[in-house]
Amino acid sequence: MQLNQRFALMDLFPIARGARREFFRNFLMQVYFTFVQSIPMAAFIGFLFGILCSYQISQSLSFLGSQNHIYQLLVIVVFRELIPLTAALLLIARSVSAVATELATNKVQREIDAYEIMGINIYKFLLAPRIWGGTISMVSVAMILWAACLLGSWLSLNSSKNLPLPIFINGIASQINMIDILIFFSKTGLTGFVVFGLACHRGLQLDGAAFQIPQVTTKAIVDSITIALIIQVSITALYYAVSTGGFQ
Amino acid sequence: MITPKQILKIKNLTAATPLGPLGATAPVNLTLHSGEVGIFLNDRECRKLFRTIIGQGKLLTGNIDFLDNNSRNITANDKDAGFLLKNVGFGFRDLGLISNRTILENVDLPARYHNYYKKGSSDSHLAKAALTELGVPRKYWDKRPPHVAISIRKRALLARAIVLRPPLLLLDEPTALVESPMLPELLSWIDSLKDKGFAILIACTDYPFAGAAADWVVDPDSNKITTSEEYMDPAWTKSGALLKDLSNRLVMR
Repeated sequence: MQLNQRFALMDLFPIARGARREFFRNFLMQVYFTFVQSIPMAAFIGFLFGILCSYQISQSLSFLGSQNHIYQLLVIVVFRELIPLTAALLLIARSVSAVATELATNKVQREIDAYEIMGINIYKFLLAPRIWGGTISMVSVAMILWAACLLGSWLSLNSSKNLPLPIFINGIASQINMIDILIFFSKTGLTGFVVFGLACHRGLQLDGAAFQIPQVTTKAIVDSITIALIIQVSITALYYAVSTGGFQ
Repeated sequence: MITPKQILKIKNLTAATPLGPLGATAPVNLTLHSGEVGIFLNDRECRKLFRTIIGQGKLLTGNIDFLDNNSRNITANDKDAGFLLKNVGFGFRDLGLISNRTILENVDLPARYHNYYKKGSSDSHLAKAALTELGVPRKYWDKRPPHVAISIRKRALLARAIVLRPPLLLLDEPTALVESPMLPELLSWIDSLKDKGFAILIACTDYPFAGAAADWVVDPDSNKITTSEEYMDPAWTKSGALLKDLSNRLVMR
């Protein structure tokens, strides 16, 4: 069944008091399910990721004889590229699929129908909190991943090279500049916004039959992975295009 | 006693709805006043009419006017949520409760979303009154729909339809999922709504219930409006003949 309501950009910003209150309630629930509940998993994955990356980088650099580039590589490769991508893949597998399934199930159970009949704007009530909650969560999960990754990297380097923590932190801090931070946030924020928007779109596309729910979910996941990769590559390409004065 | 006033007037209506064309055999004509109950025994046609009334159908011919002093054409207002909210309460047949909210939150949702409570008020008195009116025991209020019996869910759906006290109620199969001993209770509830001035349009396939509750019935065979007396008369309608046959069989047993 087609939706009766039509999307308007302002639906992403509920203003009326009742709608705003429900928006924040749903927003906080989304952040809880997407970010808070995924902290242990993100921390664990980030920690292992840190151990693995620092070990590999360290081994490769010692082979090349340029050990002092380890911080630079950790920032460029891990912080700017791998962490946003890992966060995106993690949340696509964990939450984008859940959002698409939930909305598709809502449609089958006629809950979407009920919202429309009660005069509730589903874009303000269901979609906006999920999209904003998903975006904030994507950025936050990426930050947790990075923090845990740093811890893993330091433990790995400390065990092999006896590297004190303050020196390690100083080394990383000296390599991170505003552009890196901007790229990190734009990649995670934009990916979060787009993939959660896509999950909502796919979930609401369901025609009303329960057997289509897995199809809708799979579509949402595959599309989200593709879009996430395109966003990551585009931002990196844009950065290099701007910083080198065009594609060489 | 409330003076009856015209709540809904439908004239020569045909429409394209998500469920199919409405009025394909004959256009729909009806007038519903406050304190009146009209029942469609052709439930599929009635669901299409419900869809059209709540703005989910495209009017092809005719018009729908709400409230005698405030006539509005549904096509011009089909996306006006505020209008629907103030004028129409919709009682779903079975599905439609929000599964991640409690029974009380479900009934309270329209009131909260549309700001019917004063700032700082958190007692949900509108929802509690509706649930009490429908006889939903307090112990179920904080449970989620999948964790309560289907008859409680049904009562919650009906409570949500009346929570904002709209003048027009559309009830889709109110007798479905209701246990037989609860039917007199349901009839009393409908009578009490009539006394309070609600105009009620019902889609129903329960013939005896229709005979007991309706002021007029749309006969499924002729698609014409009959008074409840005519409807019960076997000489007038097939439905009447069916009811007569049922009562004869009961007597014979």
